[in-house]
Amino acid sequence: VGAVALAGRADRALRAAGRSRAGWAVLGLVLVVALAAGVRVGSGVETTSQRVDHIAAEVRCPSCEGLSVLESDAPTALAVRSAIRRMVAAGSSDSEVEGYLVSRYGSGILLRPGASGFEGLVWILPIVVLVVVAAALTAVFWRRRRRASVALVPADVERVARAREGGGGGR
Amino acid sequence: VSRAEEPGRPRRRVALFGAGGVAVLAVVLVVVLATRPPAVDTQANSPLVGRAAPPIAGASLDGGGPVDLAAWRGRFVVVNFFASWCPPCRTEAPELVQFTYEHKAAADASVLGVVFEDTASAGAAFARSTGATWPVVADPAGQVALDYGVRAPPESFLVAPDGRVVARIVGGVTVSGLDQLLARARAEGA
Repeated sequence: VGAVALAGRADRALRAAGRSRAGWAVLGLVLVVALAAGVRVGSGVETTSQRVDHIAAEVRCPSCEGLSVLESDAPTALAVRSAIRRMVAAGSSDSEVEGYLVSRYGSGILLRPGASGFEGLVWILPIVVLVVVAAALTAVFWRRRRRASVALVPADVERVARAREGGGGGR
Repeated sequence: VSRAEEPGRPRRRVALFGAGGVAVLAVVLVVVLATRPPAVDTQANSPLVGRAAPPIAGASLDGGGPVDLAAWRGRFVVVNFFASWCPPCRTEAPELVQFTYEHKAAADASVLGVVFEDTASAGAAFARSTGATWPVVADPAGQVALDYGVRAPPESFLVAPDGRVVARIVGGVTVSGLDQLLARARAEGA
């Protein structure tokens, strides 16, 4: 009877593990849908004014601290905004506008760090850290699970139950 | 337990000495920073260095007629961005006056002032009050400042006789600092 009860407990544990796996799958699905929706929202066609604001939000105000030219009303910020508007109206691409500003102020004028050189580390390092942390967590969980699965093998459970019955039923 | 044997006492003393040390260091730092002379002749990187100076043209605020940087080829030009509300601009003004005086006879270097984030009238009044003898142009839309990538006054650009920018100086300038830059530019073939 004890062995049957323990086998039932093992079965429940296996079912719980299955439910947990399903939970992770649902979580993954939600994440993928949210990312897809986010990308779709961002890829809509922008008006000229929206494009100007979008670029201005990425450009540092030259004469103030910690503000974009979109947020600042300093004369230099207004001049930069006006230059962005002029270039966008003339058909320049976002990268051409940014290139013009970088050719005047240097790459420090952009709030978004560059993708190459030393600044590129800002983009690469978080990914490296994420991969290392994910690998470490996977290793820890895998090891834990391995230990747990050894304890839940029904044959072992039955053997333990038999031994306990033979030894006076335990405590 | 006597007071001398209290277990927390040595730790408290260490904390007290630590805090005292930090306070002394902070005071020393404040005194050093407060008594240091302001930075002058500080050269800074600029994407413009080595490239053609962006054009500057407009009416001189002293009524001296039109000004065009391109017409000044053949001599060094110090393009000086300043504002009436900027104390370091007032500090550097006598140096610029002296610099133009020393180079007047040889006619090998001039100064061109550009008003930065200020009204034309305030800029003109400031230039008059400092004894500026060089032309000053207004930049109401900030386009010239944008073309030169100016962030805060005073900021100066040394333009070589061939029209290339050879140096960017953030903060005030001095006669000796400018003369050194001229000598270096000449040595490099400017």
